[in-house]
Amino acid sequence: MKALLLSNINMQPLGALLKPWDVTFGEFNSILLDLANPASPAASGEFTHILCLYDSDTMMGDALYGDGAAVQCESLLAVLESFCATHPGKVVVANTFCFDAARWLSFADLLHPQSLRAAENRLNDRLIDIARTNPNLLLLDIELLFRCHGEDALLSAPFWYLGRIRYSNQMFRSLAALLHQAVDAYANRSRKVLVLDLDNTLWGGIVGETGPLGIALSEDGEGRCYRDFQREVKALQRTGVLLAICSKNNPGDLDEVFDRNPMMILRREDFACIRANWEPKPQNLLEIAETLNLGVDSFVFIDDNPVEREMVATAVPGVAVPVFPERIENLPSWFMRDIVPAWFGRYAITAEDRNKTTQYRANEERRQLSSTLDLDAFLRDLEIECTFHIDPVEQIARVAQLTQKTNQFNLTTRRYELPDIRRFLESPDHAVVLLEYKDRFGTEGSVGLAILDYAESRIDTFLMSCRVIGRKVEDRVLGKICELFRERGLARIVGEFIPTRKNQQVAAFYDNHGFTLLSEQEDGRKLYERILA
Amino acid sequence: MSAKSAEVASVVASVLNLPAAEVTADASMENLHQWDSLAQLNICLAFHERFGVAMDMETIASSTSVAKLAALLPN
Repeated sequence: MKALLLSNINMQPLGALLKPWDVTFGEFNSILLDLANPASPAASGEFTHILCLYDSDTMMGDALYGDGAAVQCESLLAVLESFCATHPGKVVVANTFCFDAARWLSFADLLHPQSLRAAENRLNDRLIDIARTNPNLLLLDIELLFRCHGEDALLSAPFWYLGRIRYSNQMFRSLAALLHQAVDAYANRSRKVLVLDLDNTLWGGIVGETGPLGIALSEDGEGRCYRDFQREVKALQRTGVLLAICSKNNPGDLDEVFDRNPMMILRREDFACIRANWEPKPQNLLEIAETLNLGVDSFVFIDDNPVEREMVATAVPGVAVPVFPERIENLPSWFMRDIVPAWFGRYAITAEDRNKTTQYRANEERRQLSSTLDLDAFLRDLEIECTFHIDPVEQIARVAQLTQKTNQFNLTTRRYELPDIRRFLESPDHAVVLLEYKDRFGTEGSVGLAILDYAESRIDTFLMSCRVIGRKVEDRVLGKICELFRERGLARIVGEFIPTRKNQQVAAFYDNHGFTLLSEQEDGRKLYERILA
Repeated sequence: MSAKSAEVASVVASVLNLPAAEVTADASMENLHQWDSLAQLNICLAFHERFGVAMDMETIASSTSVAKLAALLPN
């Protein structure tokens, strides 16, 4: 990525901290002009990301108490909105408005309709509105940093008056981390599975010794640290992260905890996969990966025991193995401040995310059924219903997410961000085909996607979530694709296969579906065509 | 070079993006051309973060050498 950083204060110290990004700084204090001027570098094709990191207090200029928001703030919102709308292909990052605590003048601020605090709320409401209608605007909640670390640590008066540097190095570091996390989350580069140990991780003590009611898990003292941690883990699960257990315990002990300990926040059904046994943890992790049909590089493993962590980190490269906090009272804040933003940041949460665990569990049940039946009978018995949505504007976030996260059944593995998808949705020469899947065990939601390029008579993207692989649903999607090409009056479809480390299972997909190989390149890319009868 | 000077010199070298050997105990704004007034601010930001020493405007403006910065550190 190539980023342009615009500000109204001296942000030079941030440059080196944003590595490996390639960041160029705009002219000093020209953020409004740069966004408004169609001939400015910001508008040129050179930059993929525009970082608008402005200081709210400076933007207030000479406005006094009771003046409301300064005209400059309103201008910024206006140019930001029009810039986002005219450059849908650029990702624009902007921080929220956040005034210094030292700006509060009176205890009347909360009630006064023209106070700075009221102005701040109105400005941020406006900003959020703009972001809701412009998916390429990524908001950075800068107030979070001040709440975590405090102004005393983050602002630097001497540097401000000497060189217009408002922030301390600690702030620059925190801001750089927040930017990296937000841009990664926006591109859906977050991990998918949280794997947890049990004893001294989900609760205090060793259940095999103390019994299901003797573990530390309560509303007071040490037990509350673990209970708060469980609450946070459960909240994370609701954002679409899958939970798994990998622990050395008697399976029966865990069942007893689930069945009998009323302090457990996490229930059996919150976990997509449970491995509580005496096998080595690396082996269990690999089995969990296989059961969930996900790579270990989408795993984060939390275990209080350094020896187990070391063993996993060495034997299963790719798994993230963060160091567990030394003092248990820090467990909840460590998890929310260090682990969640670093590994599980999300920018948009879809309906599929909220039901993900249910879907994976239903998958387990389907798998058990499939082991007792032959495939065709099994598939008939599933009562599969497919619904196709063409150019589903309201599901734009899910469409982008599918292109970013699907690795295995993905013919071309082209990763797209929201602005790209919006272009496809609006272009008359493209069709976005989204498959919604349902069977008698439940709904999987939107799990298949094709992006068609009519101008080139080409399937640009064809992918299926691994959750529905093996149910011949891909045949129905291909049928729909052929139907759409025919309706368009096209007699031929071009298909591509681009090999990656993970998509070998579809290497022969077009060969097996009536396509003829046209050419094969040295890197393994293949071009196919199919003539429509 | 004293231990204090060496630590300060390493902070200066990393801010100026220079090999450690090029920042000596007598390095200053006068004899290192990379050490300009913007660099001075960056050095002081890094110095403050590294050693936790509070600096007022006057100190930032006048502490333009390794020796002067090292003198700010407690014994």
